[in-house]
Amino acid sequence: MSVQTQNRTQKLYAALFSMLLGISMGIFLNYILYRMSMPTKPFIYAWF
Amino acid sequence: MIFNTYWFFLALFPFLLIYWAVPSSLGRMVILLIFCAVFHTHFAGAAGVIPIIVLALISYLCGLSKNRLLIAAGITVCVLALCFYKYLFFISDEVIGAVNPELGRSFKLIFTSVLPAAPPLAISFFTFEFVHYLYEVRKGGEPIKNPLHFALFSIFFPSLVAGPIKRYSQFIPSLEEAVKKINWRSMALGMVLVCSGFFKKLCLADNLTSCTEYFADKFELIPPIERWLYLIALSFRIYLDFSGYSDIAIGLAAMMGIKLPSNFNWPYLALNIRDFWHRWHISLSTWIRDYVYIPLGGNRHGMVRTICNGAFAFALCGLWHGAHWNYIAWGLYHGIGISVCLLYPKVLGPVGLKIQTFLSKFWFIKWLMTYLFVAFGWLLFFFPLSEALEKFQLLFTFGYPK
Amino acid sequence: MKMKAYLENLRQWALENLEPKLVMVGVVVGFLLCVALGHYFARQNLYVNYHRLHPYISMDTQFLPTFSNLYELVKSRIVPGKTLVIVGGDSVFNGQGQTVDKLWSDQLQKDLGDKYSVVNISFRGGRVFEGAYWIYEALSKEKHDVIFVANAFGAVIGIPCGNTPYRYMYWDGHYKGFLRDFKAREDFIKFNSTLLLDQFQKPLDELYLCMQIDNYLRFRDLWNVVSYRLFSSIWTEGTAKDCLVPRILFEDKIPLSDTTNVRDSDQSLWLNTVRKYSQPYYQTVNGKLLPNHYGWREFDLLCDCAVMPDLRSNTLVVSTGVCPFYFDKLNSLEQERHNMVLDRAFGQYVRKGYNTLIINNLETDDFIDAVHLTPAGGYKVASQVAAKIREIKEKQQNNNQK
Repeated sequence: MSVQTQNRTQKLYAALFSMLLGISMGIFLNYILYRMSMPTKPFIYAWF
Repeated sequence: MIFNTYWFFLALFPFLLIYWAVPSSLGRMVILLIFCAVFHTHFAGAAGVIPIIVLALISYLCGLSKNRLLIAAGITVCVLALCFYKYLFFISDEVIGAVNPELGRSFKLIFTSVLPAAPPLAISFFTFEFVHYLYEVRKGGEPIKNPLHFALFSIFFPSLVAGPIKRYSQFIPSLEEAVKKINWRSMALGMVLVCSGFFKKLCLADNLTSCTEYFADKFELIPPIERWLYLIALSFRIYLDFSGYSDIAIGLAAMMGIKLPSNFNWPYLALNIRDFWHRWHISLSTWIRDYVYIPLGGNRHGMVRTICNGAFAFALCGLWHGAHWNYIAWGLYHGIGISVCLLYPKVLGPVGLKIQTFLSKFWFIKWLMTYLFVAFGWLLFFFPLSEALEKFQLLFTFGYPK
Repeated sequence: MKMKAYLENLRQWALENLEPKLVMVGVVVGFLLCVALGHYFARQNLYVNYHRLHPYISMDTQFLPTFSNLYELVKSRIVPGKTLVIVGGDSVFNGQGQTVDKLWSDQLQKDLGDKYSVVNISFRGGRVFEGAYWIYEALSKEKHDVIFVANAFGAVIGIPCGNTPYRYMYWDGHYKGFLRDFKAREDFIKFNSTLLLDQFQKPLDELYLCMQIDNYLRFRDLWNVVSYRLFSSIWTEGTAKDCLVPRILFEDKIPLSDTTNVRDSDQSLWLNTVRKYSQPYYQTVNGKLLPNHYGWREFDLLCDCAVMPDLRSNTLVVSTGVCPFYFDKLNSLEQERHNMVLDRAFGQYVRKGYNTLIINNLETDDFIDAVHLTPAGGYKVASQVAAKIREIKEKQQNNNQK
């Protein structure tokens, strides 16, 4: 594989990884909204 | 509840958009300060904001004066404010009341009429930051002249409620750098950290909390092996809850381009107690080291003084966590643990050295001893003394006592 | 060691090659995808093989059905040409004491026959017009043929926007626009804000915010589907070791109770409960019972704002009464008070346009405790409720013909 192709592949992987990371974070942020609708516990160190 | 509230989510989103959109550094700082003030007022109430404003003003002016006497007075005022809001009932009930119950009750009545229902939000954290600031200025550090910078240092919303305890010499340069332009990398990584924090808190810690709270008064009824699982759950509950909070705080700051000190470094992988305290609540342990242990003399005055200084520093650390004897006991427990860890090779002589050599070969034993020591300590942290000792005994009891 | 090095390399690669802007785009895409899915699932019937809200699909185990969940469930039971019967009320009508194969509401379906379709959405621990009534009100916008049935104890009625823990459903329906404009209820809410406080005596701002945001984002609908069909994520004492198991796999395990439990159950607890139903409404003065006007004024007001006037003719309030074993343990004054409250309350219901049914032929063996029914008791109730429903339907048909 030429250096150019290798770089392109790397960039593709990096883009895919970044996108997937972002999508999973977006899904998780939506889940957080749901989880907060249940009774949640206060942060322990906020007592101090 | 703070970060896990809909109000916070609804308020944070437009704030971040405006913060990123504003083109000037000064504009960003002003927007940030306004949001910090709104945040604190919302969660502390209008009355709850007054102590931080007053103490911030005193600290700022004392710091600017560079007068050693004034600075000492400023430190005293901050410490007295913490004692006033947090420890007066402890003094009346547990200290005076233990000696003279009638007198204790009279003092409690007086204090009830003077004190608010709960201490001001985050008082333990912001007083420590002000004491740190004044102490460093007294030592020769440059005071913060810009009132906007000082206001942001005092009331920075990610770390306001539960840390990490900031050092102004790191925070101010980071703030100045952050407001100049958007750092996309920092924003993305910050968001990853925020998500990680919420995962630790909402998905893991809250479930462990529900579980441990449910079994707390059924401890003697559960099978012996499950009591040990309970202990592990308790230790991870506090770790995930607190490190989750710290991740959210550090992540939120990173989303604005501001760097906060890290607070945890895989503490349950520590191989001795000293190592544990280099990994657990790092900002607090370094604060205690720099502003209590070292000023007392540290380890520079012989073994006995070292042990006393360590015990006192940790007792204070325990008391900082809460105004009850079990917190002090927890602090002393760790103080003794650290002393033993540091001094046993010297005290036990050749035997001590042999033990040290043996342990260095078998890291698993070192790790297990450290983890168990810390885990047993959490019983003291979460339960009154007698209940903690009862649970400790039950860990080594086979069968069901009742 | 190799694994550690590999993970470290991976981490380094991720940090170096992270495309922050793509990450932020991904966050927005992921979030919006969830919003779209939420809106889609809000219009689907979630439940499979549904008979009643058993503990594993209700608040007992932190599974909070959304308004949409129940609305779509009830809508799925609408059959053209059949009258829909919505069963509301509390644990008595939820069939506490009856296994799912001997559920009284399934018997009601059999007694009513093919011209009716019965759905039981009563809540354990609910009040008369909580939950199920609001679904009925939402359906009435579409002019379906519906009869609503709920059980009541004397004058216990609950506030129109719901008591804890089910009031979330009122605000869910309110902010999603399911509920109709009902001035009497809105006025009650406006003038009784002191009733609308959480367990810390603070306003329900977080609840309102949650439901308002959910109206747009529908996250509760989405993650209820995930929790029901894929995996749950909340530890509760009810689910314990199976806390990750999807709720669809949990069986309705409400047990069949032995009738001897009536005599074995905690009698003092149940006697106090029975007394509480009538205590607020009459006071004893010189051996005579005098009405507590404040209590009856409140009941009158709540009757007016619980159910919309045009829906009362299709609403049936049922009294299943108290177990004779417990009733006989009350003294004569308490028995008289109990009967007076029942007569006055149900008389008030009739005057306000509701239909009522007082079942007074149940025996001790029809109960598992003071109030909950065995299958035999449930079947007796079913046959009488079926007869009353047919009577209401006939009256409606006669009125329509006129």
